[in-house]
Amino acid sequence: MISESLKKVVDIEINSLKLKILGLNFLRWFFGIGGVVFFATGFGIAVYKIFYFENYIVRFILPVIIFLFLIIISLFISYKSLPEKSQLLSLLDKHNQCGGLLIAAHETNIGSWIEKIRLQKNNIKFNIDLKNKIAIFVLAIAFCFCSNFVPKLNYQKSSFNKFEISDNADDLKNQLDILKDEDIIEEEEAEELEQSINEIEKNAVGENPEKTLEALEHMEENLSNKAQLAEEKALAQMANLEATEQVAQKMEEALKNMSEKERKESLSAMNDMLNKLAKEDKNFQKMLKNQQLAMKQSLGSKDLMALKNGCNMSKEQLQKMLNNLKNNNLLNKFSNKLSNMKKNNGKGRLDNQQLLQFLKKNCSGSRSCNKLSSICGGGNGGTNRGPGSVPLMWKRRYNTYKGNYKDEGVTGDITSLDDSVLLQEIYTESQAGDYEKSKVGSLNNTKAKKVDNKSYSLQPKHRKAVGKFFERK
Amino acid sequence: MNESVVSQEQLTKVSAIIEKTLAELNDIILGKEELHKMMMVAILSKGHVLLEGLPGVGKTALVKALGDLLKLQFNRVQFTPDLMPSDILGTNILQEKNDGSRIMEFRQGPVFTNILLADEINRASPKTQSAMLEAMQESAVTLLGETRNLPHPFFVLASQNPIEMEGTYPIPEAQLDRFMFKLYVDSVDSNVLNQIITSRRRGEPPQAKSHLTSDELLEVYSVMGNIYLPNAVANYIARLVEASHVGSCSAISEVNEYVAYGASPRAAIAIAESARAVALLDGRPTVGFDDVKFVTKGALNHRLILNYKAKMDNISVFDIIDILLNKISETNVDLPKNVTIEA
Repeated sequence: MISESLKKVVDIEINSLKLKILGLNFLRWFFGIGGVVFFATGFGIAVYKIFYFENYIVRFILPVIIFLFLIIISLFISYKSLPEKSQLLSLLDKHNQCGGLLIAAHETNIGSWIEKIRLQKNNIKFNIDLKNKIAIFVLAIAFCFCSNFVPKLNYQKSSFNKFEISDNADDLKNQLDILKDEDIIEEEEAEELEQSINEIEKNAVGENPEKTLEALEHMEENLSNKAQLAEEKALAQMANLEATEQVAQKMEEALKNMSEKERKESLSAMNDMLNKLAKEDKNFQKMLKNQQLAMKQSLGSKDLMALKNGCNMSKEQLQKMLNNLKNNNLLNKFSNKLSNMKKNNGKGRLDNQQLLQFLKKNCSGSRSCNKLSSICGGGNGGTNRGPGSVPLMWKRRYNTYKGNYKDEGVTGDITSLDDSVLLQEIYTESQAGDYEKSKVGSLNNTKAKKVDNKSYSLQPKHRKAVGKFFERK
Repeated sequence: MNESVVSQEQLTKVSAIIEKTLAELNDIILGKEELHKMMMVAILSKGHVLLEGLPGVGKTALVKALGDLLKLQFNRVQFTPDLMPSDILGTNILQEKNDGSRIMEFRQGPVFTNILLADEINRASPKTQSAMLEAMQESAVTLLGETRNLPHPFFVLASQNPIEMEGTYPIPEAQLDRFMFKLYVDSVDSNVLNQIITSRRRGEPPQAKSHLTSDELLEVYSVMGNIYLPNAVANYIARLVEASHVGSCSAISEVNEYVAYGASPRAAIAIAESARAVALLDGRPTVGFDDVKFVTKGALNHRLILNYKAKMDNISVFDIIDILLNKISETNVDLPKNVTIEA
């Protein structure tokens, strides 16, 4: 086995080799990793400096910490990668030209051959070329140092205040409403324009007020144009209408002196004019249509006279009745019925019973029809005979709610039966004394017919009437 | 103390014998000292050698001189395309006895010798070449189920001509692998030629003055067995061979790029054995890294098969071996690439 003296020398050489290799590996890892780490550190500092902090302590301590950490890491890796003793023996054997004797001496008994081993102290020298790595490392350190001088980025987020245009937007919306109400623009178009106005209002920020004002101006101009166009159109229509009215007035005067043929031609020309007008103006067209319909549905003057006479009505009553009929869409039917009745009787007078049946059949329950029924069939003596016209009887209302209301008589101007509701019909037996007054011209001491006490409770539906009828105290 | 390695006296004696023989060989064949050393290494490690060289460079002369020096039985077979295995191994022939009966008797072929010179081995057919496989590996010949051992020691020293390849058969890889070394015999320089011309009539080499007897050779072999191969060196040989394998974890980039097939385990054995012989020749009882480096080229050059890319890039086997020897660290110490060691 190996002698003590040789063992000492070998151990010294091996330790020396270990130290050298440790140093070599340390330099290798320190400069190798250091270059990368300091570039990364410099980059990190620069980024933090630009965006985040101005902490000088951290900026200078961080590289120092990394430097120390690098030393520790490099030492650790170098120590871990130290070669084994057998490998170092091989190195010694090879470079001392031992021809395997030194290795063999540690593995087996080589006897006297051990004397042949010649070890030279510090025979092995390492040359390391770290120029590139050192250059990169120095650059990295410089970069890290320079990163401290990177200026902090001062920037502000673009925060613009809301650009207040709500007044302008409201004005536009009002204009839009007017245009919509006047039927100058269609419903869909109005919605689209309103959405556009809302959008302009929503996007109105101080960043680009010109754009917003421009959009507002454009919208305002658009609406004004529409209004102007509509106005021009309306003016033109008005002019046309006035001209037509003038023509109509003059024609009305001239019609009296015209022959049948001329009248027809004139009326035809007038009709064409009206149609032309109607084509241009929808409202006028609508109005004209209604009038023509009304004319078609209206009764002739002879019919009206017959009705007036037949029902013993005044002109006003007749007018009201006709209005009621019209409101109930019964005018046409009534007109036809009237014609039929005239034909059947051949007398040009209405049969009250027939009229009453017609009304009951067609509009039972309706207030207007009930009124008509009462006019034509009910009451003392009916509509065409008896002592005279039957006045409507109004009774005080029975206060079922026990509320403290002030009952008020319905004034004449609001006793119109329009929209009133028939609440009840009250029949009471005739009592002594309930006789009709003797009419002028009747025989004296003759007992007049008993009168049925029949009354109607009508509740006016009109809001104004209701308000006056029930006035809360 | 019981020594595990050969003693200095014994080694000195054996070394002197070998040196004397080698010096004799150098005198007989001029100007090829290194080749002679390699031949001697092959003889000491009982390996077969394939000599490749142009005609007339002294291949046959070298083998004949070696046979003469070693005082061993020497046979020469000129390989030709019509050579049959039986022409080498021998065959059974019908013999008539004195009593008139007939018997099949085995007639030994030229392979039954100590040194067989297989001249222009690549001219024989693969069938005949394959007949040598068992003889080279097992030192035995099996014929009709009967195995006959060849004389000890048995060496095949084959030669082949790298030109005039028409009518030749490349030696199969299996047989190539059985050769310990493939050595290239180059021409000599003018000084040596001048020496040959002036000292040799008709180029005939001089007769050997001394010979290596069988006993001496056996002694040499016994000493060879005691040459110590340290673990670190064995590990180096193993790493070298492993690095020649394409796709292995330790394969270097050039190997992956240019080598089709790496060296076999037989290559590692050949390197280890021949390295022992080199140590013996140098008079050392242990194998060093330099011994391994000395024999690696001869041991690997016929075992590494390069791909077509290597041919295209004009990369030779020797280039790959040089790269292997440079890149594979003997000591396996992990040092930075830019570190150089000076002794």
